[in-house]
Amino acid sequence: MKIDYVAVLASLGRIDRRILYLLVGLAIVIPLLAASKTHVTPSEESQGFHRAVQRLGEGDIVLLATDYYSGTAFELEPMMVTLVREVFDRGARLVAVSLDAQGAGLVESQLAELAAASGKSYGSDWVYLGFRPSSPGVIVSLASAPFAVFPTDHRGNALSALPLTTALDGRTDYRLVAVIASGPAAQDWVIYGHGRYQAPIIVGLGGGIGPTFQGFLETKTITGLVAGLRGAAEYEVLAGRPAEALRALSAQSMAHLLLVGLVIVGNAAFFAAKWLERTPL
Amino acid sequence: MARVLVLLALLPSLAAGQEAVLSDSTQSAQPETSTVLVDSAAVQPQVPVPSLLPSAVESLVVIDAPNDAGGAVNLYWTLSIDEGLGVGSFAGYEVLRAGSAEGPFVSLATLGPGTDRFTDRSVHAGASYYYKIRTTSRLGGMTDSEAVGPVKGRGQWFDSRRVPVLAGLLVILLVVLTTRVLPPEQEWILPAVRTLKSILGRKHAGSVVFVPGTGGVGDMGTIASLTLLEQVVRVNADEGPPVVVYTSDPMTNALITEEFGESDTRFVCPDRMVFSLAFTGEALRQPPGVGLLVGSMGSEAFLLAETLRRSGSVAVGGTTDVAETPFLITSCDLTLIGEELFLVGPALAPDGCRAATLVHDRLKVLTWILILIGVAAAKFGVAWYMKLFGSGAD
Amino acid sequence: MLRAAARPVAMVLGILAILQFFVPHRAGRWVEARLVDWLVLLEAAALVAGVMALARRHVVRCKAGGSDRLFSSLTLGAMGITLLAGLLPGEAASTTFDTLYEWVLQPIQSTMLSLLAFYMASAVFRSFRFASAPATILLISAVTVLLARVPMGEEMVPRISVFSTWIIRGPNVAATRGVWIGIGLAACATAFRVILGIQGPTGGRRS
Repeated sequence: MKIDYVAVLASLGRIDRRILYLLVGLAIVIPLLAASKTHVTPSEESQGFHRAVQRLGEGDIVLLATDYYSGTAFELEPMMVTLVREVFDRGARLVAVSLDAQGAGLVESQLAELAAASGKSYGSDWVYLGFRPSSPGVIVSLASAPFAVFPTDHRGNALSALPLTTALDGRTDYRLVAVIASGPAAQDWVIYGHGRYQAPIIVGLGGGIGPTFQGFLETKTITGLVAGLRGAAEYEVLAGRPAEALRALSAQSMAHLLLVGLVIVGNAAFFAAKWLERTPL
Repeated sequence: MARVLVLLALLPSLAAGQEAVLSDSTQSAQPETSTVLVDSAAVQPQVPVPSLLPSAVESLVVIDAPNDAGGAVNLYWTLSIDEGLGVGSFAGYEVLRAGSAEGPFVSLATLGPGTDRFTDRSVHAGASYYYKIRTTSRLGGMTDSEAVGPVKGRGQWFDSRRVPVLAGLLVILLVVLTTRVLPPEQEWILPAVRTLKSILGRKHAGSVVFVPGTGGVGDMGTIASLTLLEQVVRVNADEGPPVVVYTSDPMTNALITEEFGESDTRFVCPDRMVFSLAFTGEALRQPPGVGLLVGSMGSEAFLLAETLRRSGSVAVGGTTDVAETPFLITSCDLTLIGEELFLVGPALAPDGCRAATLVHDRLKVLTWILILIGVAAAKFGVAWYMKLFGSGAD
Repeated sequence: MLRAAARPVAMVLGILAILQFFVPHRAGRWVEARLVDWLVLLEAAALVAGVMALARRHVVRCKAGGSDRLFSSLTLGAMGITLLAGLLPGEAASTTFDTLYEWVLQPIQSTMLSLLAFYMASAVFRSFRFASAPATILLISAVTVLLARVPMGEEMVPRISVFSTWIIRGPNVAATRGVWIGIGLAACATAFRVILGIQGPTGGRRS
């Protein structure tokens, strides 16, 4: 039986999209189930992020701003977890704030878990301020009058009564400002925070918006940048704590290779169909 | 006679706060600290001498901090002489404040060596304060400077760091006010406007669906989308299908309901992903003819665009989130990129809002000129030009 | 009369909002705080109005019957359950909300976002073609970055990360900055046109 390969190739262009979805699902699930190992070479951006955290000393205060919710937590939570662990390991202290209403609860439970594992006590080693809307206003106010925008923390304690925050001045207190964000808050922190806080700013972002912040890194507006699952995995490697992101990277690898394969097959089908149209029967 | 001369020599050093310790048999021998009785003004010791009483700071200046609401005061001083001499026991400085020259002075902050300035951010605007700087020694001694004051924190009515921003706004305002509409034959029509007109002018099976983004009403992308919405409604008013608007933000919904009525406005949910889910369901059950996704949107833009594609609708997309634009390009029949979002609405207006395109063109030319000058300034080290475009923050 | 008064009120408030940015004095901070207070109040009121409109529409759909009746009933039921959960006394309210958040909202959000991966596969298969010069550039750039972002890709194509880095740091930054400048200028000019009444907030020229 003679097989018209060109026609077969052209018919691939009309493949049911559900088959494509199935292939994507398998490409992601199989590596995760197989727990396959992978390795990454950290980029300069991630190294800048890591170096900024490494410069922290005993007692330094880090301002951590989170703006993500459960939908984007898969990329950003590994970054936050690794960052907080490093901060606590270096003996630094943490003041955290959330700019996403839905993510506020998510972040607090994660921070509490990490603090307990590191033996850190609430009020003296870490404080969670909670959520406020209007991120530019929060960013500006935290730098000049923290008590005005956060008279109490997320648990209702007066900031003036907590050892860590009782003497918070704002701009000069923080040794590092770390922003872990999926939304517009990251850009707000860079625009409104740069220059107001006498501290370097490092940013962890979703993979999709990571490239748009490259310009800020080049102008040294931010000191470090980790973007997406790849960035989170690089940071885990640099911090010596390979964890969720590195494990998930094998799944992302398969998915990316599948997409490249789909580009090749899609183009082959496209040109095969064009050839068939032009060729007289 | 010798003792009289020694005592006379002691007096100047006592006035300057220098240590003058007489050795006795109860103290351990510390020749450098206990037995040297010299006039420090006459002889500079070759070896730094640990001092119980450190030298006071001089030239303490206190001024109201500029460009604030009156809640801060700046202090500047010359470093203590002990620092310059490398005295090992020098510990640092302490900032003291009182409401009157007589005190009582309270400590505000403890600063390490090398610090020659401090900002007190806890002042009440309009109240008078006096300040002292106390130098401290690791051996427990301390010396206060003269009290300086009174100084009051005053709020300024203009932030001088923001002059470049004000200048920029005034230039934009000038261009907006002075740009007039050109005659139609002289106008340059955005290609996106032509394409959009042809899309809206065709007959489509199904309604026209409009999503003004998921941002708030304060988001400029939302304002741009509402401008376009009015033109879409106008174009479809006579013979076209109804325009159904799906909103995520309550304020945007209120604004649209006020202008266009409640019957064709569907408020869904402020949560972007839940909004996408609801829109997907509705669009797949009742496929629209044309879908316009224009405004401030994040990752849900791609979800909405693919939904329209799956339902067989013509999709027009545009978002102010630069990162999402490539996703829209792969899914939409027409993608409005960047400023096209703001220009396409006024450009469709029949009655003279079309000046927006010309305004934008003029502003872009000005920006190009400034960028070119900036490149030259960076090349030749013209620092003041670079500083002119600083952040305007402290 | 109210509509006639709205425009001058909007103009005054818009100008005040711009001016307070330049005034560090307490008076400027007071204006800013009042504007934010009003914004919060208006948003809360608009949310109540929106929810009422949503409920009204779905009640009408339920009464009208048809295929949408089921979905409208589910929507109204979910709204009612969430409302009742908030009225429970004491800790029960926050516990119930936590449960609804963790077991309903979070999975929905995660699922919807994960759909992006599947939609991207069909978009890639459909759109990335050597069909024209821009499409070819898009295809080559996308494939380069796709391969460079994962370890397997870097092993398959040595030194691809060099090209990927150049794409991200070069053309990408240039294009992003250009688009941002355009958006910023257009947003500023549009804001002035709305504040000064040349263009209404919903478009159209105002005489």
